[in-house]
Amino acid sequence: MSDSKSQKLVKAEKDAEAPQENPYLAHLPPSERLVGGAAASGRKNPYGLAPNHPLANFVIGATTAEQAEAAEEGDINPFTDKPFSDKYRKILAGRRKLPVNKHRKEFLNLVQNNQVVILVGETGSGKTTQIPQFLVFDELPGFKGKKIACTQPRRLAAMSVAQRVAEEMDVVMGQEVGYNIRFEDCTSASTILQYMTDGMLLREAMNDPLLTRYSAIILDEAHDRTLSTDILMGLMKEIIRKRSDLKVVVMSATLDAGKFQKYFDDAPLMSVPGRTFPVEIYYTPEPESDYLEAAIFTALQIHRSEDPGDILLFLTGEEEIEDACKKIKMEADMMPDTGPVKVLPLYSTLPPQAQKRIYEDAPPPRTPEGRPGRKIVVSTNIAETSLTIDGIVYVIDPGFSKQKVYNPRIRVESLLVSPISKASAQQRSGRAGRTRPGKCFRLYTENAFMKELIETTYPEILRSNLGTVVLQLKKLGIDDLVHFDFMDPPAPETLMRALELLNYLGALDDDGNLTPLGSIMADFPLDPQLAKMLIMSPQYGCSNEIMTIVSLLNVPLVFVRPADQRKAADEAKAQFAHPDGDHLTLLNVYHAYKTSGEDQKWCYDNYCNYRTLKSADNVRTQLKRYMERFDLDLVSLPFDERPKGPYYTGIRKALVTGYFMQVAHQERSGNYLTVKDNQVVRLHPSSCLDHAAEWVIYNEFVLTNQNFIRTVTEVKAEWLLDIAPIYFDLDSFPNCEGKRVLEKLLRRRKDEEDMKKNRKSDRSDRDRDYKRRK
Amino acid sequence: MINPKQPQQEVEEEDYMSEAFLNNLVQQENQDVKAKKANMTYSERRRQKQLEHIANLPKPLHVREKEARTQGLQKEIGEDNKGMAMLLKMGFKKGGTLGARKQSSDSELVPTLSPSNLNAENVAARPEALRVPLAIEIKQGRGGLGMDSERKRQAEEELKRHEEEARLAFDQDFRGQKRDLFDLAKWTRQLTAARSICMRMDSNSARRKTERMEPENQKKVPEESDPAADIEHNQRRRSNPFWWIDDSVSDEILGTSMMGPGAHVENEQDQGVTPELMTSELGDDERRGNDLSHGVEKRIKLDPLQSAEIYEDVVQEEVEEPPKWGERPSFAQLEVREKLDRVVKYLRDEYCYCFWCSALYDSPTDLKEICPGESEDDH
Repeated sequence: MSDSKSQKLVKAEKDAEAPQENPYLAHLPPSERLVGGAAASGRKNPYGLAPNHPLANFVIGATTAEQAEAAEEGDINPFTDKPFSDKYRKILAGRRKLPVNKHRKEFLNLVQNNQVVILVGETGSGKTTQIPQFLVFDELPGFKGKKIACTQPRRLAAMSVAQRVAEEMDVVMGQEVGYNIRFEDCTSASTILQYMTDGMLLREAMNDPLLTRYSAIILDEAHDRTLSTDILMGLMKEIIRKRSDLKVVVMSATLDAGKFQKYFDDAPLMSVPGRTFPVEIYYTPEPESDYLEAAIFTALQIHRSEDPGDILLFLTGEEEIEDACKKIKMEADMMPDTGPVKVLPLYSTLPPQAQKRIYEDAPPPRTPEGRPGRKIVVSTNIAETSLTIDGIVYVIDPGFSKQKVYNPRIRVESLLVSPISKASAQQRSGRAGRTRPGKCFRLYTENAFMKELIETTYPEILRSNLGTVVLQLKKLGIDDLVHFDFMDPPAPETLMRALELLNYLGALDDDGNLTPLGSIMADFPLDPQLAKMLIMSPQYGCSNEIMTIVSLLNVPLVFVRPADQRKAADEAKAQFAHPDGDHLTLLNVYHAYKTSGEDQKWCYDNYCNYRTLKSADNVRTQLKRYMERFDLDLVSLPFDERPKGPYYTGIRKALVTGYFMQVAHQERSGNYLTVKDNQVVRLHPSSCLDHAAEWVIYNEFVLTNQNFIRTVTEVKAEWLLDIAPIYFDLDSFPNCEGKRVLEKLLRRRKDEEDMKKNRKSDRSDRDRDYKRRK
Repeated sequence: MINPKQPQQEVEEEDYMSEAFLNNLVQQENQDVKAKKANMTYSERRRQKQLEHIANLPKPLHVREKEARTQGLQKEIGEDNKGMAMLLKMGFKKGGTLGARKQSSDSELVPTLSPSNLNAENVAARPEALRVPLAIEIKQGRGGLGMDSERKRQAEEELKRHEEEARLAFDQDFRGQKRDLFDLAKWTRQLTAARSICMRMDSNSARRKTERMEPENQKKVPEESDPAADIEHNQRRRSNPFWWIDDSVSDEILGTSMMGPGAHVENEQDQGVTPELMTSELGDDERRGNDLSHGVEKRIKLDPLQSAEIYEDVVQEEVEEPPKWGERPSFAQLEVREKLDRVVKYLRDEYCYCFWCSALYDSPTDLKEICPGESEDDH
């Protein structure tokens, strides 16, 4: 079985390997088919490797676990041909203890006989680091001129896992093992194993629909059900029909793998039990009136009365986490007769160095005989599945997380604090049993757990704006979006909104076909609105500036506003404030940053985030490359510091080309109303807009207890009518003040035109009279 | 508003297309409005003004935000939407879901399906797929998981309680309360009257008995207390539950404070109405309460049988309670109306006296034949 399989495989690779293969030996195993008869001995590898090479006996697609392990335990690194380092051996010993290592044989057996394999393994089973390596030894992609891709939902995970695996394989990061995330490509021609974000792989598929660069694709953390993973899975189903040589491994941490199995037409399932210990679960007898306070109290209680062991506390967001960290630290330090504590925050926008601190050990006791110290990690749900912290014995779960929501009816996309799912709660409690039996304190009643929590978290595709996805799918050549094989089909209205957006932006025609503009837009790794803006910007003579603004919109917030220095921070921000809006303020910051010589101290003094600005600069460089690739001019208007001068006006007009669907009009009552959806909104307090602007474009419509529009810039009604006449067709407008204003404007324009015409005809009459008289 | 218009229409018979007709209508309407306004009381006008004022007040921003949001979230994207049109062009069926068609093997099983059937099949193919977007719920504050629903539950309970209270209050609104008070006062009055009649009759019958038994007693001064009658009284009181002439109880039950001073006057009037009777039985009447004259008290004090219970209320309660109060609790707990009914019934049964007719009948047959009935309403 495995032989015939590998035969097929080699056939598929025939083009690449043709010169070395003797077609008359096709009946022989692949290793014996080579030209020159060297293979007849069965001793020499097809790829011209020396007989003593660690991989000499390997047969692609038929490697045994023993062979691979022998190669790993050899003296020479088979991929670099250099001797293994001591560090490698030390790590290898640790790797052998991972739960997944015991299943290597089983895995190879499955993957050699099936195109798609579903693998379920608890976080910490080693699947993310080991499975790709197992596949590398089996597929030997280097010899086929291909790579193995392992997708991760998060940029950080892709980077850190790649780093780890590079060490495990004793290679230089970026060479044989690398990563590729948006705006950062750390791979080379010799890369055989590539970690990447799922979004990146999707992007690659757009220009390489069959993903021919890859011999195997591993979709890791599939349980996260990110937007891109969901689309990729649909895509994989299409690709494997056309590429029988492609292996697909779908890895999930939770046990609802049955759904994946069913989706992939009953693909075989392999499950790797994690190293887990029993976890006792405690519920509160009554619902808590303040979950944050309850969480802090519980943490302190554990610190005071429980045995040594670190604590993991799940909260929802950065502000809450920092607040809790401060309070816990303060209270714990005042507690008598307790060990020292180290309280560490963890959230995605935290700088990487700070994030790494969670791996530090708990502090030592204050005195040699004193009580041992304790580490308390306060984290968002990134510690739920993607990051594993050893030593956690106690988990505190208030039952909430920040989740993205999107509603197409009012076109709002926001992060809202919502109850987690039962699956999430189980995942969280599982974190306590990683090193020894642990305890999980759920800050809700058992009744609430049973009745209020949904079974599994809704996949992202049901909670997201699909604008980018639809554009990508169209670019991928998938025309029938209605019947695309979504694992969980989104609501039809969500797709409607996406189509509407892309149609108004000019990316799709009325039949839903991709236009040339849409094709270019899809290539930009940006939201469709931003891509459109960037493509149109040369026409307004400000592509350099729009490029800057777009890059700053694609990184986290530039402005730093520490809780204890708000006033100073606001004053610093005011220096850059542009009276007409936040987009222009961003531009000012970037210019100032550049003028300062990209100085870290300057950033610190001016309450700007140096890291963010640096990455924005990096994004900008990438965008510049895209611009050049599509032959879009990089131009600027002569600088003119007057806020209403042509320089800034041009930029604002260019912004309208992308944002004309995100417009709000100020009512007489002072608040704003979003155009067409008529949602009552107000300017976010962070806005720099210093006067009552009648029309504004906004970057985001966010929901909190209040409706906010964030990152706004003033525009003129005339521009809206000129730049997006189809969208601003007043017949399709619901009744509102804004509509009346636009109607008045149109009427005035018409009158002026008529007058001009009349004047012209008057003049021509006069001329005629004059001529006649003459 | 409509009714007054119609007759006029018929009388004048204007062409309904004519200007005059329209003018008429307008005028009529204006008049109606005016008439309505004129008919309104001040408080009605004031209330209307207030309502109008509140309706015209600009709503707070967060309220308008929420209203617009709820409205927006409920409004489905219509067919005039371009995206909808595009989606329909792509083969979407309104009210259907997205996602892969049913497994090809399934459709092969039913190859004779017409296209419309096939589509119907598709629409039903993915029951688990979303038809409408997921709802948005905005969490307010930091209430723990389950707290919101707990609060909601409590609020609902509170609301229910309030509704119940409002309903009760409605039943017992001002007028109802007044009526109840009035009825209570009336019944109390009637009860007092019925009692005094009952008292008279009982004492009379007791005296008649003693006279019959001991004719020599006739020379006795009527004012003086008659020990035999007293004994009879006491016996009756113990044997007959309707022998309750007991003013300390009646005061307590009648709740003079509740009825106001009128009730008091009523009592005194009753005494005034039947002076000779009263005096004749003052001796037996142990507890006339505060209204009793000093002389009477004195005389009663002479009575060895009852002296103990007269002096002080405290003493009275202590000593008298066990034998005398045997029947009272059940009677004391009764409603005024019920008490009245009992007394009336007692009078009818015992003496063929109808309280409502104010007539003493000769025999139960007479009572049955002549008296219209047992209740006040019958009379």
